[in-house]
Amino acid sequence: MQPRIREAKFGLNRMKQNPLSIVGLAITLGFVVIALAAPLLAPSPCGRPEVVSCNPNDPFVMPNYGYETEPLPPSADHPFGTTPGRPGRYDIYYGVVWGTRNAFRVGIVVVGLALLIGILLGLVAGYYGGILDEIIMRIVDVFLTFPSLILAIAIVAAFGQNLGNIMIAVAIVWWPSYVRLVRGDVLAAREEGYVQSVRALGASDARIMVRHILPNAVYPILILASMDIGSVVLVVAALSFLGLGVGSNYADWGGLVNFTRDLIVGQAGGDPLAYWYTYVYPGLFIFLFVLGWNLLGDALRDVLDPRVRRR
Amino acid sequence: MVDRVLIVGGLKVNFYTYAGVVKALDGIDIDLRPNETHGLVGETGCGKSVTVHSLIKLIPMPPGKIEGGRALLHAPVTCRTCRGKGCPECGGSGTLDTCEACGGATKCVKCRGFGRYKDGKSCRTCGASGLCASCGGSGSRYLDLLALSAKQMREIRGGSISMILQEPMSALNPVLTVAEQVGEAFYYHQRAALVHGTLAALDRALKDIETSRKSRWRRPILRWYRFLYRRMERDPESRLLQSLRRVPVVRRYHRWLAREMRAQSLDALNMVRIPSPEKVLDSYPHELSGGMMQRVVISIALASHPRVLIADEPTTALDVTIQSQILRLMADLKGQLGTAIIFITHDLAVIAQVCDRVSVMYAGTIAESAPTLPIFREPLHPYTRGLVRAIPGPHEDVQRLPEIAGSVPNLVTPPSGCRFHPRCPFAKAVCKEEKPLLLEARPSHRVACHMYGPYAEQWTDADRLLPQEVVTR
Amino acid sequence: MNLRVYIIRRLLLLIPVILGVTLLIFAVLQFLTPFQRAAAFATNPQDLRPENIDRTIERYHLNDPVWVQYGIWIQQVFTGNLGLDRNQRSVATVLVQRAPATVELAVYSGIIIVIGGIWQGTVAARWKDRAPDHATRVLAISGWSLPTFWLGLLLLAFFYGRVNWFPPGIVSDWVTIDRVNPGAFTRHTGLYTVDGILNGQLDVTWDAIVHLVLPVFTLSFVSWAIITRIMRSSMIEALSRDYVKFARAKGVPESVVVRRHARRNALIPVATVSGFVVAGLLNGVVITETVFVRPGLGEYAASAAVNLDITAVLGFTLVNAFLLVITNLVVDIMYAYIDPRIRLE
Repeated sequence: MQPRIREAKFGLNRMKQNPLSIVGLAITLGFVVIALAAPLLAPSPCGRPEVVSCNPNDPFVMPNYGYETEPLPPSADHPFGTTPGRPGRYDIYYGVVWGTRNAFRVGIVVVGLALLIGILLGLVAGYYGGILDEIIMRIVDVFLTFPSLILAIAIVAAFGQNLGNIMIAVAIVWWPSYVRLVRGDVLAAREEGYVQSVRALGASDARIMVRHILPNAVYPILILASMDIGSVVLVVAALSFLGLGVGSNYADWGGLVNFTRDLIVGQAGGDPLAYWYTYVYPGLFIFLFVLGWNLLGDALRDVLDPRVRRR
Repeated sequence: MVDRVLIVGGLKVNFYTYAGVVKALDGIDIDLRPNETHGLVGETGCGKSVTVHSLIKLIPMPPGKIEGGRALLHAPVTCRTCRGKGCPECGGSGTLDTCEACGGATKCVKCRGFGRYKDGKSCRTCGASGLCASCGGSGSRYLDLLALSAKQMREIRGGSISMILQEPMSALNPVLTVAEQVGEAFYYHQRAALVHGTLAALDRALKDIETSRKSRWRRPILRWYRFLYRRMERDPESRLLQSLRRVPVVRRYHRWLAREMRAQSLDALNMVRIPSPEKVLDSYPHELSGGMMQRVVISIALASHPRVLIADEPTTALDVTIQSQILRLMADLKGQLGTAIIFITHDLAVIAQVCDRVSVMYAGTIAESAPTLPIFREPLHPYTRGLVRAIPGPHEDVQRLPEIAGSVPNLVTPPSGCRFHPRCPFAKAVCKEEKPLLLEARPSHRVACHMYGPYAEQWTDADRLLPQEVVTR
Repeated sequence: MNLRVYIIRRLLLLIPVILGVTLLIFAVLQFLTPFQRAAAFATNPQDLRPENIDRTIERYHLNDPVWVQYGIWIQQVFTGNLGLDRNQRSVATVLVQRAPATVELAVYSGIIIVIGGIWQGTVAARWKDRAPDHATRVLAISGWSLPTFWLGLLLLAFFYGRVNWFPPGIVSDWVTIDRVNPGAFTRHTGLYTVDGILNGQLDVTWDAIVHLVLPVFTLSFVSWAIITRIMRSSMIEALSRDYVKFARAKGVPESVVVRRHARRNALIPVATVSGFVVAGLLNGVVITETVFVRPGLGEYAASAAVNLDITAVLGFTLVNAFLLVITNLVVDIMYAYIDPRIRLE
């Protein structure tokens, strides 16, 4: 355990040297706080007279403040303003705060799912090799032949547009890359001395895979994969933006940006900049979220990369 | 014939890193004589590579910085009046070889040869020796490598001073053919000769057309090429011609030069005795064996007949049989071309086999410098003695190789005074305080150790040379 | 080792991949009912009417065992029949019609991405840890994190909404109304920029370019960032290699060292990534065309997806997959051309 602690300390030290990684860490932690404190930051206003429709049981359903077309600019009641009335005026502040929680939920579930499948298949492919390996790798190749977004669109279109399907679709798109990584590590670990000796002692394949190879091979990949949360959120936001998302009253960043498409393109000269708050805020949240994760991921990748560490 | 091809004096190099200032070189002195093979030996990390890299400014200069010292390369120029043919100006030799600073007088310009000023202060420029700093007191014409501009240094590199690296496999670019890489050396240093050859080839081709009366349509094209090359002859670095190389159809003119380059490259490969050179020219580096690659590297280095060849551990990455082939090749070529070689290695056996003189380096300083036989027979510096003693002889029955106690110092905080003193069995107080200078203890045998310097009386003769430590081979 | 043999081998390896791709799409198809699937086979809107639908199902064996269906489907696909979309139009025809718009966008973006990214990566590596490098890194990481649609919207809001310099769409109305419809403008290639030149009407070309500025910028931004990063790190790697040191020791001028020795080696990892870049382009086109209201392949797919037009989406997906397969092949060949070591395999 000691060497691991030492490595971790060294890694942390290196991270401290890079100002960008600190920024990344700060941003990400900030979002974590927002997500955790969502009920406090944006309590459900159901029951108040201005609220036209609201769902007290599901906080992710944004409260609706009316159906007038014109969105309300930022004010004391609505710090970030509201969306235009078609299909409903939603409080943007509420949307982005709960959208943060939603983002984390989606990101973690998708990456977790993809990791699960990826690790399983990667372990099997790497350990058993041979024809099983070939088959799995061919399947991976096939999946990787599709541009990710397009495949996700196809799956969601075929199976129905709801949050669960979106998460499944993106997970399906994501797992192939993990298989490759895990397989590589397993292949390397398989030839190590300790594996040979345990096998000689008569341990079963499953036991070897899970107890011996898995911890060593997978540890760095877990860390790298968690960095993918940012990218996953980006893809899901794109899907929501296109309209494949959950339902327009759900607190989802991409969905919020979707509202404003018509506003901008519809009228030239009717100043869309007046309604900047409808798209700037949600988009900004997406951007910062992904930026934070990417900076963090970059820094961690630098730390884990053995070639760079020598300094 | 001048007595020193390369004079390095007081070379100091520091590296400014996160961990601190690494004082890599602390006053290196090296004398390279014409046509000699000078070995530079020492442990890993003692600064051998840094020394030679600094000479041609190949060290990365952001962390690295040359703090001081001089590196003088003997550089006679062709007499401008007679263009090398001989005239009263140059005394018939065709070359001008007088030191520009002292005009041949060999005396230091600052202190007029006295070494000290009236007030007793020693002259900084010549270090109290009184000799001219720009020529080391020889009176001949030298070039200070450390003071050159980037452009001038580029001409020196591969031109007057060549370097070959340790691993031939990594020295060659894997995506370029051998022909392209050898040709490069000629393109950048022998441009005049190449153009000359190309013009000759063009003239021959034109004459052929005249006599055989075939392919007369080619005449205007060839005439155009000849025009271009005549321009190139007058102005080899012509930007215009170089930019023409980017234009699709026009750039075909370069093919004639490329053919010349290929012919020269072929000769170069033949010189290093590569079998089937034609095939090798068109191969990629990964298609060749280690020994072949090293030969190619050597041919590139010797393409322009440099005055100095720096060989940075050229045989370390090769197996022993290839090693002896390469060493023999280098010795032959040295004789043929009159090149002096600085041979870096940590293998004393190779030193014994190949070198005329040896300099032993320790932790950024030169410990000892002498001809090969005395170094082995009569090692004066305690470090050298430790090294030589550690070589087991075939007739000895050793249970355990004698080792030098301690380990290589950290160059961020090097030991004070003599850098070897913490490990030296003979160290005394003065060794910790004052850095020993590299002085002559025996004729032609220099040592940087207080046992042989001004404080010699602190030791007995028995310390200096214990009879049973003498190694006889 | 021969480049030709390598190409042939790669072509052969293509077959199982295409097989797999079609299988996957087919698998997705199977989740639909035979009525829905009929749309993927029909060529004539009449075939889908209630009175004819059973006959259609019979004709395409939609109730038969899976492998029979697969066979029929493959046959249909390779003869160009991708079925009818929601609006009763042939998917294949629509795709062909809309392709030029997408090609125009993608190709221009691709060129900019590759040339720009390589150039900027080289500069950043050359001036490592100094101003150009820092600026590049900040830009690159922002680019990588930016949602494409958001960037597009922001640009549109300002450059169209506020200053009206770069409007959305492919061409202005006057081009369609005054030139194309009356027949004064023949669309030879379908690419307005090229056709403008071919027709001698450069104002049309200019108009198309104006409409292309923002979409190309938006589409390129993310991929440019990726290429720059890869190029930068591979250049830094290449510049630290021994052969670069040796080339300098040979006396080769620094610019030539960077260009000829380092860069050619540095391009190898970039070539690897270019497959991803093309995939990114295909992805990005969907979003960019939607944001900038350019009726191309991407916009078709996006609206089809929202409208649950399965046939259209699947047809589009299939075409994309094939495109990517071909692209990967080209990339691999290019790779083998740049790096002679690969050919040995």
